[in-house]
Amino acid sequence: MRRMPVLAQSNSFNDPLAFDPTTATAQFLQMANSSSKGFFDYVTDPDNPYYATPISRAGFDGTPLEVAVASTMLLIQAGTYQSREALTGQELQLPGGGSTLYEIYTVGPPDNPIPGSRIANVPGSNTFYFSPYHYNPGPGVPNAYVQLTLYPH
Amino acid sequence: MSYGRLKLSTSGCIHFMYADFFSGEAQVAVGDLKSGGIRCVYTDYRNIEYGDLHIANTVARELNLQNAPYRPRTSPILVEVWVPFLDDLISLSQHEKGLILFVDSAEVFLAENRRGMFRLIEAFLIQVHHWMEKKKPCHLCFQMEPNDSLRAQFVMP
Repeated sequence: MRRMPVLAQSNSFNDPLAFDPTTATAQFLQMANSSSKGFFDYVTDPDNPYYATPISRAGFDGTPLEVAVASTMLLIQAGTYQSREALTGQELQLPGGGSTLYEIYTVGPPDNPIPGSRIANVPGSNTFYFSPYHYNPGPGVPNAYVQLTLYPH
Repeated sequence: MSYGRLKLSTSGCIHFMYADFFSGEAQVAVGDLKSGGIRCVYTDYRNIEYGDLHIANTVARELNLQNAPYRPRTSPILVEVWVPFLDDLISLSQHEKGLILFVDSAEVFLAENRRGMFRLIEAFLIQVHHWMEKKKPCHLCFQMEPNDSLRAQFVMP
């Protein structure tokens, strides 16, 4: 079985880079194949509030975190990943306001999710909002979310 | 109403308690809850420096919640603190046997920050089903009238 590279550990609870894909998570990661490229796209307009900045891309592309995010989105779309809660766009500061209901998901293996990482998705939509810092802005993610769009399958 | 309900995992999870709620047996009640492994957290709204420290942060500090402290909302593009707070309570439900939140001086809370009190209730109710699914008690108790015996269980004289 091919092992994914292990990132340096961090003591921060809210640090997605603390994610360590151990043997227990390998099965989950396997389904994403060797690369998530080709599964989703980013917003390319820098004026879009959910633009993936070069800083955020640099810390995300090609990492186990990217694989985990892609895997999670695919499982959500397949209806096999359990929702955590439902909140409105207004509450989450996401498009659609109070009339749009988003399902919130953890990221990664459900029994060992990546601390602090969350994904919001309107059921049936292929647009996902990834929050790596638990709804907070962070390095390269000024509005707390990065928009990711799954390609049709 | 008996405090015994606080030991149950039930949808009757919001309580407005008056002076006689514990019938003078707060010590027994809180001791009983704690001995059952239920986390009991007390916060007095009068002690919150309004505008500086959010009630969600005072509760989160007592519970050592995972992503606290929550940043105040300084921009309309940021989420209100209730969102990460309720999310952390969901995480807490995975490893605690139960949770009772006592909010003292609730009549002041209601008078001074009605919206905040209702948002606390809403946030609590959004997450409470996670506890119920695990058959763990989770209650939010507003002390509407002074009850020194409750306060004495949590605050050193």
